[in-house]
Amino acid sequence: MKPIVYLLLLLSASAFAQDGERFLKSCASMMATNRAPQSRFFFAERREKSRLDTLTRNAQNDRFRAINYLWQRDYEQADLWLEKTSVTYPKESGAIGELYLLELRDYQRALKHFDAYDALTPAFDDIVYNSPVSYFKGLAYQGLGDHQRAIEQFSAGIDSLVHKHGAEWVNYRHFISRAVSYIALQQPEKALTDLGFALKNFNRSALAQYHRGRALRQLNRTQEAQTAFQDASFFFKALRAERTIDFQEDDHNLLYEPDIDEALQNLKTLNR
Amino acid sequence: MKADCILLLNRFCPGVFHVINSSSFILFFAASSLLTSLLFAQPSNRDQLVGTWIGVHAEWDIDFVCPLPTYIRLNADSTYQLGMVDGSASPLTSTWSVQGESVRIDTIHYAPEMVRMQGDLLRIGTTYPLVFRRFTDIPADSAQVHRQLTAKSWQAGNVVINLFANGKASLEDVVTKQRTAHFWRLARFGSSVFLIIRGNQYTRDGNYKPIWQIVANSAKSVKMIGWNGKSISTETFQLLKPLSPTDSCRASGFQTCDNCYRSMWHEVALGRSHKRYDVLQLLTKYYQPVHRAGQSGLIQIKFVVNCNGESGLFSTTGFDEDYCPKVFDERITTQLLTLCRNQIAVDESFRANRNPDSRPQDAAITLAFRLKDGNITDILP
Repeated sequence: MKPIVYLLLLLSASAFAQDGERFLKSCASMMATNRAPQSRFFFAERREKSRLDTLTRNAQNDRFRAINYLWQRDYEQADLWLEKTSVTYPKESGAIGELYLLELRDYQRALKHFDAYDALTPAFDDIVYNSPVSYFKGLAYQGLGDHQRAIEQFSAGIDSLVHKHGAEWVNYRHFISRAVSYIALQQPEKALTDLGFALKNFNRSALAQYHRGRALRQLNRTQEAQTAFQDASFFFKALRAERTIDFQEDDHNLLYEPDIDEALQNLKTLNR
Repeated sequence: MKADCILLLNRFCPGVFHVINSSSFILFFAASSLLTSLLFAQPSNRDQLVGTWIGVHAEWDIDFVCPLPTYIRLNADSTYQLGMVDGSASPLTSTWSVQGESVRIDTIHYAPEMVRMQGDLLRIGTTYPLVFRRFTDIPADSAQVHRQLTAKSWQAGNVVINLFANGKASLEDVVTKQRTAHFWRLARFGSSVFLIIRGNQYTRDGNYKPIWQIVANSAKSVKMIGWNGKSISTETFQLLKPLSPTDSCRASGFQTCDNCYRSMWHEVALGRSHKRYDVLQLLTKYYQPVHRAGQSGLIQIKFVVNCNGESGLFSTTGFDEDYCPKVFDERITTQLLTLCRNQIAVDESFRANRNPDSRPQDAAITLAFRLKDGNITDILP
């Protein structure tokens, strides 16, 4: 009995000490963090702003300043610095357009910057990060609901990559994006061709299977559509387990599990 | 340093930089170096560092500090201790030394100037400096101090400390009338007694408020050393009134559970997660579009849900399509605010800790809705 009493006493003491130990460990780790000056202040907005004020102006620093404001959700200042950076450093326009597209969902502004970037070298499909600017222009048109123009731009990007490197080197997301617009324009056969290319380049894509299911449904091939949606559901769960809970295959084409479940449910209702 | 001075000169005295000749520059920097060395004496003499240092705060930003309830003991025999002033954890023990311009504490080798003394303050680091004050032991009788402090209200300047007999405490700002709820106790440290205020309206756990060392006490006043928000000073708290059991020890309004709350640290971003899907579903279900040309741009709603699920600190900001400030139709903002307050703020998943063994946290939620002519077209990540 005695050891149990001691154990209970020890447990209660350790429960009390737990918070203190946590503070102590946090202080010890802060002391280690402070052993040398750091180049950026990640958790100190005002200190970080002061640091940025002292930097010489260049494309990278100005863009970083804009991104900093985006993180802080100060959209007025973010827009000011995005525009300023684009005007001062035209070669940054592609990256600026991508920020308007991805972070601000401002398709008009994104297009303006992508067009300016593309115009720098009219005979060449300029690259933004790892994709041709045409691909991003396609996404912007897609966001505006102009799927015909989106397809034109996606095609320009895909064709340039196929011409240079071959279809197997095209990012499968480009094919999916074009397929999404084909589906929107009720052209499921073309969408299926693109989704076939996409699955050839990444055969475990839940996103490609989901849109394949949608295209097949437009063609009334409901049994195949059901298989595609089931595959989408399987790969979605597999990818979620492999990566993180919030994983998205494509930040520009978001897919959620209830979308797949709903598609499957609708098919069942249709088959009744 | 030199670059900073040039920038400062240029900012405050435009044009001056061009007329300063090289000799005056040398004089200027010699003077500034002297001033710096006087303010931040290098710990070349390890004797200056020997002693016990009581934590004041961690300087997280220019305008934001968090109380530091720890102490550092740097003994002359090169032994070192890092502990909690209230004794809530066993101290960590190791050794320390001074090597040229560098200081080693435990296994951490500090670069030159990372451990600096500023009068009776010890500053460790420059990124998020930890500030300690030199400790002088002032004997006090904890039982007698407890008898005098308990069930009374004490005031120094604009701050009122209410110390209830049941261990609850509240801190009140007499100007803003804001009151927060905590718990209090006395802690012995050496022969000294410290007033420890910590925890929140729900629990004794959680962050600390600034800790105060008792200097002297009488029936009508108590003198304590601590951080008063501007500096380390000895403050005299006058007896305001005895507290009766009917006096409220509750917070005056919404209170975060974390005493050292900063929205950036508690931010729960929608990103492209499943939560974004849920919010979109809520919008589809509850939002009635107000079709009106010109109601376009962004509406940003910020609010906080504390660890117990209470929400507060709601704010709304509007931006037009050129990202300039804009006031949107009240029918739109009211709907979105109601949605945030009644649907999103009550969703427990927003404040769930990713670590299932940890307690729920405060959650700072910011949602930005993109609108076109009164229709919601998107939610920003």
